[in-house]
Amino acid sequence: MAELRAAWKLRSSLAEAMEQAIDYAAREIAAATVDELVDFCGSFYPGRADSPEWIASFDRFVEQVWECVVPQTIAQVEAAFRARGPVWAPIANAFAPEHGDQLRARDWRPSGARRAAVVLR
Amino acid sequence: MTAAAFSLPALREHITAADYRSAADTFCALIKEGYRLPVLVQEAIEAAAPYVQAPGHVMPRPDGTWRGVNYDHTILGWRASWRMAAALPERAAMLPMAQAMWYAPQGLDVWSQVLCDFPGHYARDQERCDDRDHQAEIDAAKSAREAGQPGPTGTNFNYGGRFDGPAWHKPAVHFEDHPPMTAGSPQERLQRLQFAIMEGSRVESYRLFLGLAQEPGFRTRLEDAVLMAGIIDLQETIIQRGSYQNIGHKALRARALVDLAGQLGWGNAHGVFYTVVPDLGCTPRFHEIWSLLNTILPMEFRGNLSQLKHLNQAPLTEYELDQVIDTLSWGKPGDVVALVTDLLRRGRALLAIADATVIAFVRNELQVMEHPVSFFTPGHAFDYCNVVNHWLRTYDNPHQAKALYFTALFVNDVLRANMLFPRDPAFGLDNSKQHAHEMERQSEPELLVTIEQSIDAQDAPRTLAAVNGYLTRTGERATLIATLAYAGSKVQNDPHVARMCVSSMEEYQYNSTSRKDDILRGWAKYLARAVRRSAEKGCYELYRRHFVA
Repeated sequence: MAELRAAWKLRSSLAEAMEQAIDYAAREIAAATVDELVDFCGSFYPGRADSPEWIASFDRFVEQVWECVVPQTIAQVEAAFRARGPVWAPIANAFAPEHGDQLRARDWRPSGARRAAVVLR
Repeated sequence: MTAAAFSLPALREHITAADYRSAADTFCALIKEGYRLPVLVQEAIEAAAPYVQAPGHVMPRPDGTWRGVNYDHTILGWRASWRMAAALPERAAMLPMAQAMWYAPQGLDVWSQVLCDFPGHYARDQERCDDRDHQAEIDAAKSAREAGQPGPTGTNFNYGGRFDGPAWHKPAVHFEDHPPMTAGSPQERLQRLQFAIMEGSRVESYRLFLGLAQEPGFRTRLEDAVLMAGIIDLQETIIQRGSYQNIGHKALRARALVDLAGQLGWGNAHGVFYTVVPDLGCTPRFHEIWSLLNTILPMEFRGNLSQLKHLNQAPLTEYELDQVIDTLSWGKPGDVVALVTDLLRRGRALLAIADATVIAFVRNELQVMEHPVSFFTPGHAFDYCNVVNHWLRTYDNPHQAKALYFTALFVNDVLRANMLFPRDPAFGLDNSKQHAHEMERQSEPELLVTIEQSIDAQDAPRTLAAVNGYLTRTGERATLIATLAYAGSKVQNDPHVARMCVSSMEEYQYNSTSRKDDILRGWAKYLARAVRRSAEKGCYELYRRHFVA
């Protein structure tokens, strides 16, 4: 019982830390300029990524962008990558309005939960 | 074409002329005339054999960099198609063989094809030699490939151009045939063969092989040695390596040799040997994983390493199976090595770990892969697993425990390589559950028709819904397997599809886990979603004209 209690306490502490991390990232994403967002998105392509795992976290970044960035800014990011050609299409498509609609439609909040369910990886 | 034109000399001529339609037409006509299949396959392989080698699988560019040169796939098509035929009803049994024949003339002299100096599917589809005036488009596609984007290197529906064949000159011979080497004891030659392949001594390894092939008492050991040579030549990673990789091709070719020599008879298999063996020592060669394992495993297992196949007999628990699935999809290479070592230390059977690796691959295929291109390179790892598992099941070699690390690392690597490019929402897949209600209303025979039709239409969610409906409704599998094999047999210009079909069939047959049906689901998803080199059905129509109409 003591071990279970300790394990649950650790889990809850990490949940709180995770919420703080998500909020911190959200504030930074919301405050970023278009140029900063475009530059950061570039880090999710092979030449600048430190590992495949970093690139694989791009979906989670996109979810946060659609949560906390104004549509006009997102449209500018999309246009910047659309102009780069087909190699960058996955990033441009991630900021297309249809994709934003899909993400918003699937927002799911468990009963009694403080925030929408978060996929970590 | 006159009836007299349907002859073995004509077949040879069509093959070397890269006239694939005439070759397939002649092949089908000769089958109908009563020619034995092994005679035709031997003839076709021998006709192509001088023209399927490359000087190397990297080609220097004037600027000091290099580009990759594709591996021969003609022999892989023959091997896979022959195996597929057994799963099909009689009227369709020769369709995969017709596909192998349709493909073979398009796969000659790949070196010249990538230089736009010989027709074939690499010149036509990958290099788009007929479209050189669309240089900007070609450059964009190439830059994607050179950035490491996984996948086949081009699908083109623009047939009928110069590079669709027939050829305007003969294909080049990049490796001459050689006489057997018979000096020394067979044991000494067998040992030397392995190192000659590793060193890249192509002539010596080929001559040694030909000499050993004449020793009937050594054939099992020779098969074992050639398979092992192919298996241990595997790149440590394809991540950020561009075309400097072999994605398991050495092993795939070794398996083709073993199968086809068995079907043709070793005395009739010289064309197979000439096709496969010189390439085993071709550049590039990779033995980093082999070196790693020879360093770390003796520390861990000491003298027991070579005995693990016999000592370890326990199956994996369901939890351990979940661990394998999770680690191979989401772990890093170090995690993979540690997990395999841990399982071996716990006494888990080699084949149980091998089966779990296959299930880990198909779980990722089912749950993660979406973009049609994302299936292509990983499919090679799945086929490589099949070669390794066949080696484990069929031969007894003291190094076989190491093979588990090769398969697990290869699967993990191709799945991590798929992470290299952000998921593209434009290629997202709908959930197959949306079709579940429709499938509930269909009978089992109707579900099989739906499966075939939705694979034809490349509708993955509908295919998976129908397959799931069938699997939950009945324990019958042979007809489902025949349906999937038949659907795969319609796809032309791509031996990868046939190869993936036979790997799935064989792994399903032998898999010991409770989740083996996932192999059939993964197979169906591949057929319904993976990028195809051609949407045309010219070979299928040709086959129907000969055998059905």
